[in-house]
Amino acid sequence: MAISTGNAVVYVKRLLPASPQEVFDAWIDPDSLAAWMRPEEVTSTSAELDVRVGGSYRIVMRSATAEYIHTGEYLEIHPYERLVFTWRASADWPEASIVTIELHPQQDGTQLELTHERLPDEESVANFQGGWQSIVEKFAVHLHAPAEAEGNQR
Amino acid sequence: MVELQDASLNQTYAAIADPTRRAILVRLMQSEARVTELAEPFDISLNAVSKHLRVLERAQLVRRRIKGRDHYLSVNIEPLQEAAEWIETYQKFWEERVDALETFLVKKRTQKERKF
Repeated sequence: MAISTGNAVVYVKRLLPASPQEVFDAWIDPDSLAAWMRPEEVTSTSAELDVRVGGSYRIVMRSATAEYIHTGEYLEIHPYERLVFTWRASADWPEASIVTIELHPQQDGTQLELTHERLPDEESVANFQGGWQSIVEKFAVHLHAPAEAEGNQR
Repeated sequence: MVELQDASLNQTYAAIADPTRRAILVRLMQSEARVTELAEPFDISLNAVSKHLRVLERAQLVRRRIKGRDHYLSVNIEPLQEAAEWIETYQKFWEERVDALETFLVKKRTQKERKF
């Protein structure tokens, strides 16, 4: 399955002080993943990972008041280089999105590039020319001045 | 293979993939407008603008109000607001997770070094 990374919705790039193997293992070893996949309000995380192409995972993050369940399937597994999986957040966004992890060895560590895409089909990917984030930004500005916009209409 | 389903989101993305439709949306953010007013700045026919407007209406990004013979178009923020919320949430989520991953790796390396 060809997944474009040129249409990133969310992108994080970081130089990590570890080898590509150490970084990769931190994503595929359940105990390691559970140790750091823990947002501030979460008190414990459990991870069940069936790390093979087509295999699924289930990550449950528990806070004092709620349980956040994340599930998905592994689409690509290239040890120490690239990991692609679908991502579903049970509560807020149940439709699948795609997370791509790419690891590039550097002299002093590993460059991690994480892309999280929310593109529903290949046609949209093809049509998508990067203009929509600027639209979203303009909408954000628009949102902050609703009274003024209404005044203009009268 | 994995099936990705979200018809409404799909329509949102398809609707804003076109530069003319994006320009129409940006124009409508200023104020509501009639179809003829919207067509003015573009070098395309009224008919073509109407077609673009139908795509935007299907994606619920544009609303139509009919007053006498005039059709007034206005913008609807909700579909894009939801998308903006998604971006904001996950940008923060992954940045914090990568922070935590870094802390985890540093800690692990320190422990390993201590053993030797």
